Amino acid sequence: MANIKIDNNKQQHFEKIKAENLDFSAVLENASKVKKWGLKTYLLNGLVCLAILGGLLALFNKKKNTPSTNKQEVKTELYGFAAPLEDHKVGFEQYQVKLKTDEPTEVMTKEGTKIVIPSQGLLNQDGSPVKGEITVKYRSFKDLKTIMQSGIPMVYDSAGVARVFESAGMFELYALQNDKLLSIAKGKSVEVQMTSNHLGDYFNQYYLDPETKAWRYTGKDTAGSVSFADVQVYEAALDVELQKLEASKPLMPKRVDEQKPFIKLNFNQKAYPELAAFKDVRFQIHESEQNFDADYAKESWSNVAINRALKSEIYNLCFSKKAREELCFKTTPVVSGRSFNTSKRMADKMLEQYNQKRAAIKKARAEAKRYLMIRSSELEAQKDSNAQEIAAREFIDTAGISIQGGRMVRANLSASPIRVFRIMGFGIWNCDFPSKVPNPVVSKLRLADQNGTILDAPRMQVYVVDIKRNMLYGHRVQHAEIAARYNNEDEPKNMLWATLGDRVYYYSADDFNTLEVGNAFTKTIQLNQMSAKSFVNLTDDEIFNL
Amino acid sequence: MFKIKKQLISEVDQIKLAQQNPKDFEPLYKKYFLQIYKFVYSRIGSESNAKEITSLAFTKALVNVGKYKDKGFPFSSWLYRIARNEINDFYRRNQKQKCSVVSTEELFHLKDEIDVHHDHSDERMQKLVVLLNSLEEDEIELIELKYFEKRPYKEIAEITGLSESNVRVKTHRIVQKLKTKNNG
Repeated sequence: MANIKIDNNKQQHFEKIKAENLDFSAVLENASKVKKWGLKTYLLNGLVCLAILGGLLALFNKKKNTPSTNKQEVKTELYGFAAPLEDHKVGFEQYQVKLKTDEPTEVMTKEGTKIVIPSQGLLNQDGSPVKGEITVKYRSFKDLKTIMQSGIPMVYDSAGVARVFESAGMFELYALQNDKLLSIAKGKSVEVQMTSNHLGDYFNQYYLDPETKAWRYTGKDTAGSVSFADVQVYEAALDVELQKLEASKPLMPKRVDEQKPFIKLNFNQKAYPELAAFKDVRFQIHESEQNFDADYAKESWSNVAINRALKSEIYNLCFSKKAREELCFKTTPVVSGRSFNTSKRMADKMLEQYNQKRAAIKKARAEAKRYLMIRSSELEAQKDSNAQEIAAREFIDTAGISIQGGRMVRANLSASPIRVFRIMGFGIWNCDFPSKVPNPVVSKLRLADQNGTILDAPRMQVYVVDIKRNMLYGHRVQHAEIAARYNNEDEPKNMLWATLGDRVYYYSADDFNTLEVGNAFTKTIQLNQMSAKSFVNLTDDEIFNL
Repeated sequence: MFKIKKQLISEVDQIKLAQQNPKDFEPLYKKYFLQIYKFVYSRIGSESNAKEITSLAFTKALVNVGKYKDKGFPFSSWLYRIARNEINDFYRRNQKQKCSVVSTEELFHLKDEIDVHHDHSDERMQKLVVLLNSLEEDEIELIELKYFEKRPYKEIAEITGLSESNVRVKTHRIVQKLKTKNNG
């Protein structure tokens, strides 16, 4: 833990030091004791050490670069797209499940996506129905980084017009038995309830055809059909969730003052989640409490009630017995000196978790608000005043909504919107919206590294990414030059990423804002770089703050 | 005449001279003594210890100046790095808890970064100190370098031995953590 001391006289202190004579001779004398000024021995030793170190590093690197093969993983590559970061592909999650014969079999992935396989729904390669244990392989690509890592083309041909996908999430799914790929029976479909990080009712669903390697439109996204009312409910439920969370914000333990009165009680601590970190809890009589008398401890009490004012650190302890009126004392919860450190550590950890959860809810709420604002103005523009009400009523009728505190709340709210796919073939599916490739904004750029060396590599992949719309445009490098197209609408947030070997080069969001629009190759931009390993460990948000 | 000639020598040339003759290290010592002292004092909080550590750092710099190679960073970054190692040694030897000495003014910049209200009341500043005290030692070091001493990321990377992108990410994460705690 840090230890900050405030010293507002620091500057004066430095002025004083500056005025003192700087005695270099003492430094020179001390240095002379350590070293005679002949460097040859040191250099020779240094070279020998470096040679040994270099050899060890070479051995280490050789070992590290040897590709590892996972014998357990069965190849399911129907598509053969080259991942731009070869050693950092998005891995599959594998689940071993036993198929139920008379009801659907469910698989819940780590991220909360549910896969429902109908009974008698899978076929072997010879067309016979599958029974027994199968392996389900699943991976998803929901943010810009993983979409880039996938190498999957995000361009859609809409009646001859190229469009770029704005993504609400994409997944790849296979089922196998005895290392052989299974298929979905005709007339059956596997339901995938994919969690999505992006709100919106304008997305479609697409299947990436393994034969043609082109995206095929399969229908409107189902989450969108109840959109406005759904998001209203979602927002209301987030409010409730936030209030509930804030009421249980962990309190920071304080050490008991043994010199002052305190009360020790056996009570159900689970009913007070804000005290969960308190080990060996006691209630110290509050300093403002005038009514406490130690003699009360000599009496026998039949009941005690613990009441806490909302978000307060003061707990009212009320003791009662049949023959006498209730006695209440203001107290604060504390812990014994012996348990203080353990309780403090636990409370710090819980507070961090609390803050993370709170920030996530607030972020989701802000996004819901933004969506509702945009969608309301769209509906307003349509001048269809009844549409919103009808949609909301229909939704209330069908989705099992209850009214709590004057607001609509749906039970079992999921933290992320769910996009429901009913798939009839295994492979890659997405829930995306094909946006127009931005035309008007073009910057012609030459790419260089930090030393100014032009990056002229035919194998280099270049992407302009747009975090606001979760879009990624691929660009081809020709003679180290690209013509970057991108959106620069309200408050754009673009970056340029380039991958080459095991390095990722990037042009930060701040730098990107300074790019000039033009049709001549006038600008050479210097890209920062990092290892692919470091890059894939960052979130989109962190990458956009580089 | 001689003095004028000395002043015109570039830092790179001055380092080359010092590599040949230790006495030529003196101009570098005079140029950077106060900067390094400030750096050390802000992490030690005691004048006598700060002077001793600064002196040790320059002694080590002088002993090793022959090995110094210009990698495109300011010479001062190299000195800071040596001073940082001396500070770490000091705390290891004495088994003391590391401290950071800051002025209220130095805290303003960080305060504005994490608090949307830009409220510099004593109460809010006190809260900020409590938040900073909850950070780990390596975290507070990045905050010191970035917000109290306002060093560019590139230089922080050189001083701490981390990569520049790692410094950016770590600093961003710490500031996010402070923001969350501050507004929580």
